[in-house]
Amino acid sequence: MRKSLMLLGILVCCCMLVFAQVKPITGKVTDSKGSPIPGVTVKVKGQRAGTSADAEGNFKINASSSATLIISGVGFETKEVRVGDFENLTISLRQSDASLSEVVVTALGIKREKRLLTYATQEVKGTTLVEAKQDNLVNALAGKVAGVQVTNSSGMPGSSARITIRGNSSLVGENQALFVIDGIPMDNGEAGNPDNSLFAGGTVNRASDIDPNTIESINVLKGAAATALYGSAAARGAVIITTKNGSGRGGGKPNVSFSSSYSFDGAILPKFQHQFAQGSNGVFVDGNNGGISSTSWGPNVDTLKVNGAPVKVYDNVKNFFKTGHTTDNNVTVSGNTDRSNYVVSYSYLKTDGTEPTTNYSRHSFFTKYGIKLLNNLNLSTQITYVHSDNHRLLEGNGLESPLWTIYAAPITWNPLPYLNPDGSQQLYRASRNNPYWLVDNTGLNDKTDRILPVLNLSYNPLSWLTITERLGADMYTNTTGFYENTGVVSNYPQGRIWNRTNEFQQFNNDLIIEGRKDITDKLFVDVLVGNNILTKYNNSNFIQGTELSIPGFYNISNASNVSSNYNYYKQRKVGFYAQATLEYLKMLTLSFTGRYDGSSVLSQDKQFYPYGSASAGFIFTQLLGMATNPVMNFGKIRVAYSAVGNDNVQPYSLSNPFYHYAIGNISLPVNGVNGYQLTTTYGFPLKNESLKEFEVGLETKFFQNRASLDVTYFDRKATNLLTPGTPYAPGTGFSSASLNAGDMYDRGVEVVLGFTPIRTKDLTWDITVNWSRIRNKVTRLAPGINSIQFGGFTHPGIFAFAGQPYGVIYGTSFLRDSATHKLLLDDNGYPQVDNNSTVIGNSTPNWTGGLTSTLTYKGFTFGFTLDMKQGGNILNLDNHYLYVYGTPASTAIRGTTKVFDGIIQSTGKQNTTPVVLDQSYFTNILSVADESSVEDASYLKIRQASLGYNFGNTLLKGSVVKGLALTVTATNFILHKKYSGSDPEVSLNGSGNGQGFSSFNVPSNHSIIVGLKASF
Amino acid sequence: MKRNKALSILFAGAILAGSGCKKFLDVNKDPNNPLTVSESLILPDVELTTSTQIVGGYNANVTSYWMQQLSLNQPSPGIETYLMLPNDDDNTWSFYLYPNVFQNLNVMITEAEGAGHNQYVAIGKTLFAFNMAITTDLWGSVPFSQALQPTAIPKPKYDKQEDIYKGIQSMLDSALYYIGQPASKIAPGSDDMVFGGDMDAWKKFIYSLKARFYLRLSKAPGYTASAQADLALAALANGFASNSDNATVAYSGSSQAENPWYEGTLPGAGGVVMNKQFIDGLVARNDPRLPILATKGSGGTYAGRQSGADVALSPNYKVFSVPNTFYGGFLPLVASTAPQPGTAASVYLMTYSELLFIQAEATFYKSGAAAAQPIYEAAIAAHMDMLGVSGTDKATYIASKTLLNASNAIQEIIDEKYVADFLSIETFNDWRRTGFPSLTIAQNAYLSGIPRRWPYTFTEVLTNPQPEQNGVTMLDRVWWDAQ
Repeated sequence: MRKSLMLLGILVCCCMLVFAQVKPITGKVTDSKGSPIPGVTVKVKGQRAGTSADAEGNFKINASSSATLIISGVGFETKEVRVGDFENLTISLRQSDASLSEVVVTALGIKREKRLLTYATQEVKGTTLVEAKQDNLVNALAGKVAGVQVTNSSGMPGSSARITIRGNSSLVGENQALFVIDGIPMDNGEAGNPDNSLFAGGTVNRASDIDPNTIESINVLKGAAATALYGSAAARGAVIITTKNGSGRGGGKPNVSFSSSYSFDGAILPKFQHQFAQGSNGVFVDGNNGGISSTSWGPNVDTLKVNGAPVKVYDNVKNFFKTGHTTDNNVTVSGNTDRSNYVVSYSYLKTDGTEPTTNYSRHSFFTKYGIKLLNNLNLSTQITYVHSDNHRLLEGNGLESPLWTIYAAPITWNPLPYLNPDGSQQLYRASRNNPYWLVDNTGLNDKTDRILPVLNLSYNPLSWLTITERLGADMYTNTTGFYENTGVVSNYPQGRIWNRTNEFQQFNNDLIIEGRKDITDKLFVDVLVGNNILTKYNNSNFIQGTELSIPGFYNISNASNVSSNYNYYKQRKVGFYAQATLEYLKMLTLSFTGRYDGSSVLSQDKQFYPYGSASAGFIFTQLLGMATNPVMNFGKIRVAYSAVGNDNVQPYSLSNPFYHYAIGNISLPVNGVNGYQLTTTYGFPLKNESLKEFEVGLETKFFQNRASLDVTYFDRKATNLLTPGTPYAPGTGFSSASLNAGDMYDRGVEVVLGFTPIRTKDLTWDITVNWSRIRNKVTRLAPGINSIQFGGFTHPGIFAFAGQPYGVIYGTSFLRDSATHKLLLDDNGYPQVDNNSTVIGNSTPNWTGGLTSTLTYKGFTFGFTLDMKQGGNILNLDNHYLYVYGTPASTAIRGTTKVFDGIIQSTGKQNTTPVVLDQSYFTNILSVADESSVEDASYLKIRQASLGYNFGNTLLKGSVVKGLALTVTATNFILHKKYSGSDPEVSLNGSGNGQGFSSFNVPSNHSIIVGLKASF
Repeated sequence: MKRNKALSILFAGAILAGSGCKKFLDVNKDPNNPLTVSESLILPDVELTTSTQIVGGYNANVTSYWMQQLSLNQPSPGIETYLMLPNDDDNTWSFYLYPNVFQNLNVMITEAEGAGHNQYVAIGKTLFAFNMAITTDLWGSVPFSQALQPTAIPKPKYDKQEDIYKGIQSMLDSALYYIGQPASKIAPGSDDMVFGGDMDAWKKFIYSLKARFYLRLSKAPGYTASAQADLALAALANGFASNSDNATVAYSGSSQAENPWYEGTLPGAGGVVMNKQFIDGLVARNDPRLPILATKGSGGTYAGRQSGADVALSPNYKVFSVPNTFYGGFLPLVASTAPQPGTAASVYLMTYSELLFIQAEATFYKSGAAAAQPIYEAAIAAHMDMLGVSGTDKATYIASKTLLNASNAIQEIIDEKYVADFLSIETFNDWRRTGFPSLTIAQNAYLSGIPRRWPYTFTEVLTNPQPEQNGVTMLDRVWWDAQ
C-alpha cells in the first residue's frame, strides 16, 4: 500500500515536470472590504509546497496557467482560483461563518471546530485573564464561566484559591478541576501548613505559578463527556490552557511588547464596636497599666476617665493593616517566519500585602519555539520556568496568628510598644502574643522553583493522518519554612523552626494517531486512538527543631531538639483511548469515546477499568437553511452521556501501616527508644469510583451573531466514591476507614447569554451574562454512617450528610419547638442552647452569576465584570470567638433589651418578657450556639471594572511605538453583602474541601490598579 | 495469511503491553511506613500515650478542674464550669484510647502470644486493664468484648460496666499467669518506660491495680464494701511495698519528651493555676507539701483561684499559685531563659501512697478506725517521702491530724488521699464513690451540679449509635457510682 502511494507521488511529480509551463505570479489577498489579509497560505493545487502572504497581503508564487491556486486563512473561507492568463491577481476572501468554523482546544489538546462539539465548553481569552489583575490565575477566572465556582481563601499574598466545575463530586477526594497546559496536565496542589490550616492558615495552590501573560486562551471543559478522553483526572472538569504562539509581522522580525501595572490594595475589614472599654460587667480594666482582662465588656468610653482625663481610644484593627501594593511587569518578544515561530516572555510580579511584612513575588519565564522540520513534520518545544517566593504570617485561631489577638483587642489598649521594659511581650491579657511582636518574630517562607517543559512532535504522513507524540513534565521544588522566636506564647516557648521540602515530578506522555477525512462530500469522519502514561513522584522532607539556642537565629542548626521525617510517593497510570466522530452535512455530529485506564493506587484486582461516552450534536439551522436568517442564524442541540471511572485516592491507601510515633509534642526516639503505632484509618480494598453524567444543551445565535444563548442542563451521579476518611466506630480500634462509600448527585443548569447592543464603526458594546444553578445531594454514605467531616472543627464544622447537600454546616443550635420551630426560651425569656449538634447551614450557593460588559468607543474601553452569588451560608468563626470578648460591632447593642419571639419552655406560653442583652447573653448563649455564627454568604461585587485608552495608529505614527494603551482598573468592590465579616468569599480551608468558613483569615482586598501596555 | 500474521503480532503485542502494564502499575507498596513491627516498638508508645494523654494531659486536666485542684483563668462557660461537649472528649476516645492504646495493645498481645513472648503478653494485658478501667470510669458502658474487630464487628455493642470490671480483673489474673510462665529471651528492657522490663515490679503493680479496682466497687449495686475490702486487702498484700515500686513514666525533659503537665500549663493553655479549694485546704492544715505542690503567686503568697470566678475582675493569672515542678508545672514567674525543671517530671500511674490509702480504707471497713489509723499515717508519710518532705515536718503534720473514728474515717482518709493523688483521675473516682472531699459547685456553672461522667463522644455517637447513649447527661451516674 505504502509503496503504491509513493509510486503515485513520483508519477504525479514527473507529470508536473513534463507538462508545467511555470510562470511567476504575484497577488494580493484582501477581505471583502478590501483590507489586506496577512499570513494567508497560497498553494498550487496538487502540490505540497506553498507560500504565505506578507503583512500587506502580497504573495509571489510560481505556477502554470493551467494550475489552480488554493488560498486559505484562518477565519476565512478557502478559495480556489484558476491562474489562467493572469500574472497579477487580487483575491478577495469571504469571512467564514464564525459559528461553523470557530476552533477551540478540547481534551488532549486537540483542536476542533466548535460546531463539532457535542458538549459544553466555554472559552476565556488570555487578555481577559491579564485584565483581571489577579496574582492567582484561578482568581482571574472568577465570575467568567457558567458553572465554575472560584473561592479565594484569604487576602494574604500568595493565598490559595479553589476552583470547582459543576459543583462537588467527591466526598473527601479532589473536587477541583484538572489544569492542562498545552496538552500536559499540571499539578494544582496546595502543600498546606503541617500545623493544620485551622490554626495556621494555608499556602498557595500551584496553578498560581502560571503567568496569565503567557496565556493565549483558556477553554473550560465542563462535563464528563468533554473530558472522558482525558481520563479520570479530568472527571471533575478541566481547565485547558493554551499558551501563546509566535505571532506578528512575519519575516522573523521581532515584536516587542511591554506591560506594567501598579496597584493600591485596601483590606476589607470586618466591623468592630468602638464604644466599650476593656473589662467585664461594666468594670474597667486598664490593660496599658498592668491590668489583665481578655474581654471588652467594660464601661462606655464616652464617660470613662483614666486619672481624670478621658480614656484614649485606639482603632487597633485599622492601624494594624496598611495599603498593599502589587507591581506586575511583563516583556514579551515574539516573531515568526513561514517555517518557524517563537515567543520569549518574562514577567515579574510582586505583591506587598496589607498585613505588615507579608509579600508574594513571582518571576516567570516562558519560551516557545515551533518549527516545520519537514513539510509534514512539525516540532514545537517550550519551557516555563517559575520562581515564586512568599512570606506570610499565620492565620486561623492559633496562638501565632496575629489577627486572633488584634480582632479581640480592647479599644482602650495601645498595642505599642510591643515589648515591656523587661523584654517580655506587652499585652492586655494573658496567654496571647502581641500581634506586632508576631510580625517581627514569626513567619512562614514559601519558595518554589518550577519548570514545565513540553515537546510536541506532529507528523502528517498523509494529508488526512496526523501522528502526535507529546511529552511533557511538571517538576518543582517547594521549600517551606516556619519560625517562631524564643519568647513566643505557644507550645514552644523556647522557639521553633520547621522546614519542609517537597520535590514533585510528573511526567506525561501521549501518543495520538488521528485520521480526519471527508469520506464523501456529505460525511466527515475523525477517528483517533492513543495511549497515555502518567507518572507522579513526590519526595517530602520535613525537619523540625525546637528550643533555639540563639534567639532570632532561624537555622535548624540553632535548635536543641531536632526531629524529621521523610516520605516518598510514587503513582502511575496507563490509559488507552479512542474516539470516533462522524459529521453528516455539517449538521449532525455523532461522537463516541472509550478509555481503558489502569491505576497503581487501586486494589491489584481492580486496577483496570473501562469507561466512555456517546454524544450527538444537531445543527438544526443548517437543515432549515437558516444561516442567513436575520433573527436566528444558528441553532444546535447537543445530547451527551458519559460514564467515567476515577481513582481519586492517594497512593498507599490500601494498607494498614505503622507510623512513626508522635503524639502532640511527644515523639520518639527518646534516649535510644524508638516506636511505631498502628494507623487509625483502616484500609479496605478499593476499586475505582464512577461518575455517570447526562448532559443536554442548546446553542443559538441570533441577529447574525449579534446575540447568542447557550443553555446546558446536566445530571451527574457519582457512585462508590472513594472516601479515605470515612468515620468508623473507634471501638473497632480504627476511628476512620478507607472505603468505597457514598453516592451523590449534582444537577444543574448553565446559561451563557451574549449580546452586542451596539456595533458601529466607533462604538461597540458587548455584554456577556453567565448564570448557573447547581443542586447537589449526598444520597448515600457508608453503611450506617450518616456524616463525614471535611472542614472546620468537630463542631462547628463542614460535613457531608446523607440526604443533605454536600458541605452542610453542622453545629449546636438554639433549642426550638419541633412543631412550630419557635425558640424555646428559659424562664427568664432567654434562648437556650441545644448541645446536640444539627445541620445549621449549607455552604453551597443557590445560584451564581456573572455579567461582563465591554464598551469600546474609538480608543476608549470601559469594561466591568459583576459577580454574584445568591444564597449559601458561611460560618463566621471570628464572631463565634469574639462574642466572648465583646469586640464585634454586633455587641455594641449590649445593655439594650429585647423580647425574644419564642415559647417559654416550662409554661408553653408565648414570651412577652423583655430581657437585657448583657455580657452573659453574648458569652453564654450567643457564642455557645454555633448557629449564631452562620451567616448568609450572598454577595454582589464588582469583580473588576476598568477604563482604558488605546492610542491609535495615527497618534503613534512615525514613532517606534506601535501600540500604547493605558488602563485604570478597580477590583473586588463589594456592592452588596449580608455577611458581617470581611468578604463572604473566603475560606480558611484554602483550596481544600470544606469551604464555607472563615476564622481569622486575612481579609480580602479591594484594589485600584494603574496599567500601561506598549508594543514596539 | 499476511494479514493474519500482522494481527497475531498485534495481538501478542497487546498482551505483552497488558502484562507489562500490570507490572508497571505495581508500585503501591508504601516505602515510608512499615506494615509489621516488633512488640518492643509498640510498647513504648502505648506507655507514653497512657501517661501523656490518659493519665496526664487533657483527661486529668478536666478532672483536676472539676475536683478543684486546678483552675483555668478563662471566662466561663468552659470545661472548668462543666461546659463539656461531645467533641471535647473525642480525641481521647477516638484516637488515644481505642486506636492508640487498645488496638496497639491488641496487636502487641496477639503478636507476643503467638511468639511466646510471655513478658510482653503480661505487660500488654496490664496496660489494657489499666486503661479500660479509666475508660469505663469516665463513660460507663463502653465497647469491650466486641471491640477491636474492624471487619467482623464494625459497630461493637457496649458491655455493662459490671462485666467490664469482671473482664479487667480476669485480664489482670491472666497477666499474672503469663508472668508465671517461663520468661522469653525476647524480653522488654529500655522499651518498657514504666519498669524497664522488671517483671517483679509489674507483678506488684498488677496486685496494686487489682486492689484499686476491687475497692472501686465498694458501693456498686450487688457488691458490699466489706467483701470488696477483703478482696482488696488480699491483693494488696502482694502490691507495692515502698515508693521505689511506684509505677511512673519518666520524661527526659527535651522538647519532644516533656512532661504533659508542663505542656498543659504553658501560658498558651490559657492560664492553668491552682484552685482556691485545694490551696486553702493545704494552707489551713499547714501542710508542709504546699511549697512542693504549688508556687507562690506574684503577690508572694499562696493564692488559688475560685472555680468559675469572673476572669475580668481577677487580675493577671500570675498572681495565682501554679502547680510546682514536682508534677511538671510550668513556672511563669521565672525569667524566660531560666530552666524549667517541670519538663523532666515523671507522671505517676499509681503510687505506694495510693495503695496505702486503699489499704487504710479497706482496713477501716473490715477492722475499724483504730486499725486503719497507722496505715492512714503511713500513707500520708509515703506521699511526703515521695515529695522529699523532711522527717520533722512530716512528723509534725501527721501529729496534727485528728484521729480516725467511725464517723470521720472515710472523709479523713479520702481528704488526705485527695492531696496524695494530686492531679490524678483517682480523685474524681474517689469523690464520686465517697463524696469526699466535699466540694461546692463552681461559680457561673453551666450545669446544675458537678458532672459525674463524660458525654459519649461525637465520633462514637456518629458511627456507632447504641441504646446506652440515649438520654444520658453528664450528671448521671455510672454503675458503680450508686447513691
